[in-house]
Amino acid sequence: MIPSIKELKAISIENLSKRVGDRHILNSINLTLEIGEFFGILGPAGAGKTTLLRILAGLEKADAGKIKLFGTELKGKAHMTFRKLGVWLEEDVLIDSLSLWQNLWFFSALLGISYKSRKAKISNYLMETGLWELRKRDVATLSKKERGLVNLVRVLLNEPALLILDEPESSLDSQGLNFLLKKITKLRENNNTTILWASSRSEWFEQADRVAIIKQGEIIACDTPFNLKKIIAKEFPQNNASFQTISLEKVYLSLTGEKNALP
Amino acid sequence: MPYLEVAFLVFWMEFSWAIRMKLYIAYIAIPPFFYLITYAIQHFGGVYSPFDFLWGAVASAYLLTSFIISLGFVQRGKSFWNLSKLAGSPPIYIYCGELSFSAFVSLGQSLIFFYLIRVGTGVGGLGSFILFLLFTMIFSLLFTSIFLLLSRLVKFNLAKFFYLAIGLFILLLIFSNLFIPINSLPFPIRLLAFLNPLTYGVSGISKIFTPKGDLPSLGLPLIFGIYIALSALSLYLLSKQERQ
Repeated sequence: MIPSIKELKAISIENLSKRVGDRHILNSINLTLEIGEFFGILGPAGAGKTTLLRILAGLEKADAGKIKLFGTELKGKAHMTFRKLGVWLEEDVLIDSLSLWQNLWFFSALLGISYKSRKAKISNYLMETGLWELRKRDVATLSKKERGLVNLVRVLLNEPALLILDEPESSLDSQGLNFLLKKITKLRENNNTTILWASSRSEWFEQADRVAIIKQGEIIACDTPFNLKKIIAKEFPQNNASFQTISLEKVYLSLTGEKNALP
Repeated sequence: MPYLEVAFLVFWMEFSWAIRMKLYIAYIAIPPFFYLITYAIQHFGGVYSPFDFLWGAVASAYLLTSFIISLGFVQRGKSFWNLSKLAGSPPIYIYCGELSFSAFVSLGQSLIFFYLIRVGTGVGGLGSFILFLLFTMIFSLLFTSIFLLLSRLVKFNLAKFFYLAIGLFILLLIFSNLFIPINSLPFPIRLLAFLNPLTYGVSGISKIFTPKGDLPSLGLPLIFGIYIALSALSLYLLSKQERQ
């Protein structure tokens, strides 16, 4: 049965599990993302964030559970669904033996971006990010930050319906991050793009629609930033000044059991 | 068709890489090198005729080239593979690009080999030339796809691939009719040689140039058919590689 537009979810995850030996990397994850939502996944290193995103991107298989992207269940070949994604994971997928331009050109061809619009799209993004002068240089000679920008352009090329980001802040400087945040706002306004951003730092998620806090493969809290702060705010008198000082960082540290999380 | 462009781009990338890294020198040098080996064996061996090892040497040359091409792919293959998965592009088109490059290299090597064989032994006409080009292209497609399947098995781990591929390479050479006619092999080895696709390659190349050849009961059309079927099977297995 074809879901109606209102029922269609960007991501629908049911009882997703993944084990490596005795260790549960992901343990019965249930998650739903609405179309156009900015969703943050916050968790320490080793919590399962990257594994979750890799399963969504199709680079790993889950041991159990069901995943649907835009109503289509992920199994085997679901190429047309994956073409709606912009995926930036930890691993660098740029081809070192090619130039910056060639890498983006190749990726555009893989995405099925039409030949006519490809040149204009790549050129515009390179100029916006200040990479135009480096377009003929081999990717192997670029700095980490420059490679980060190239990856950023790569994931934005097809104006994705779903943008999956795994700690992009580790590969970008402040200029790159500003550009990413601006683009996210624009994509959400123009394309109703859904954003799924995983990080171990919470500063990007103050503007998120919802944030899930993940620890040891389980989602321990999932709500709007405001409601998550209320969970911790009960520790303080209910006055605006105290409540406003609570950051998502404190919520996250508190819920994941870090010592001295609260003053 | 956008996917065909992907195959062409992979071909073009391999071609550029071969020029840039001067791998074309190796690809061009392999035919005369292997030809010289057979010439040396015949010249210094005394009892051997030019054809005793020539067809085995030709087949070995293409096998070695297929190995080198797939080794290069493994070095860069993980990037191609992950990129194609992230882009939702069927990976078979990446493989098609790779295999078409292998066929292109074999075409060049075949021109060199045919010239050397014609000048050195006097055998081979226009018909042999065309058959030789076709057969060696299919030969290269088959063995490159076998090595590419191996690379997927080891998940593009370069070290694992190298050792496994070298082992496969040596086994293919030993358990074949490369050095000894198949009917002269001991029974257990003869059995393995019949299962070895390289055996049919050596036999096929010899039948293109000489009326006699190993495996007299198998005609050239049948050997062609075996190779085309095996290549189609390899391509099918490559296409069945799921996203994970």
